[in-house]
Amino acid sequence: MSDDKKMKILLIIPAYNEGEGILENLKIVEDYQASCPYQLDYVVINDGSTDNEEEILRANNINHVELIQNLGIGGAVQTGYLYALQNAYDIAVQFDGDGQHDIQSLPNLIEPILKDEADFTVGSRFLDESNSEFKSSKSRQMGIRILSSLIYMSSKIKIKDVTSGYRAGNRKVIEQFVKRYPRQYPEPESYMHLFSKNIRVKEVGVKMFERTTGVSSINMVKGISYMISVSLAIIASSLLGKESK
Amino acid sequence: MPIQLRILAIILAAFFFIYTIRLVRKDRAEIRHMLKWFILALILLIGSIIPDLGTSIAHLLGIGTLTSLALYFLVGALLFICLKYQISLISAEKEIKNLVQELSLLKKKISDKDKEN
Repeated sequence: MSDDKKMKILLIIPAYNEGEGILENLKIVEDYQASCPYQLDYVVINDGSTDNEEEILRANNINHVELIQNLGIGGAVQTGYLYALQNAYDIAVQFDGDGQHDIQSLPNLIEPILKDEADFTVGSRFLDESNSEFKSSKSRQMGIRILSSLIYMSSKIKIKDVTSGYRAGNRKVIEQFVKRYPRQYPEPESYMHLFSKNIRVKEVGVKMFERTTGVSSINMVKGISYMISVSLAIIASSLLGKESK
Repeated sequence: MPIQLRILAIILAAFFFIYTIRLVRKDRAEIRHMLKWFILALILLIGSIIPDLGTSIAHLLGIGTLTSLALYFLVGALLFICLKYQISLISAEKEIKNLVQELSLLKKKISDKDKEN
């Protein structure tokens, strides 16, 4: 893996009804693309948006896939992984289209994979090396802490920022996620699937911003049901994992 | 088993038969889909026509009356059928998701080709 520049890297940018801010955020990505040392492409996954997102993407000639039907965040991201597999990318990075993730943090995610220290990296707001000012609300942090210890107890994978959607994986991860990726609230549960496939996971510090446009897919009312269903999913998949060993 | 309940069970069984046969005749379902409902109706019919048989089976299982046995059996059967339906629904959902993904990627490939030309 010495030929870093030959490694094809794909940014998977899922976007649902982000017509308002998508161009602005893609502009930042394109500026970075021009200055970075990697062979970096991106694909926007339009998850069956009902606003003018598709028109904007088309009019501006942006590399994108329009899902003919809304699949939810999990299905949209998985489409990106499928695209990465079909087009022989070496590394796929999940990157939000709403401006939450700082593209300047990309090397933090990619370098451990290029150096073959990890198969999968997770961008975290909670590590000391993260210079993120935005750390999300108290109650959300508490929920994240609970899920984090649940994942640690059942898989020994130590991830602080379990709901982070800023993640990168090599070919092994791409193939695994094409095969299996949870459709709803995918992030925490997906670690359990990686654990059972002996994939090395590493958490790295990244910068995140508060969202500039659109609304988060998890609101306050859904918070509790989110916690319950994700916790159950983690516990259940840990039981399944142990059985199949 | 009280006579009213037996009559009710016979009516229910007859309704099941007629309804499912009509569905198959109108091509809304295949016989293999309806088989479990036929069997359920058949058991219902046998139980209500020969209640003594059912009662002795109930006693054998330590259940007091045929009515209770029928209730246990029906609840159990319905739960099982419910689970089977959810499983087939989930696999249908997965198939649709895969189709949407493949089709959307294919559509992209075609429109990329069109742009090149």
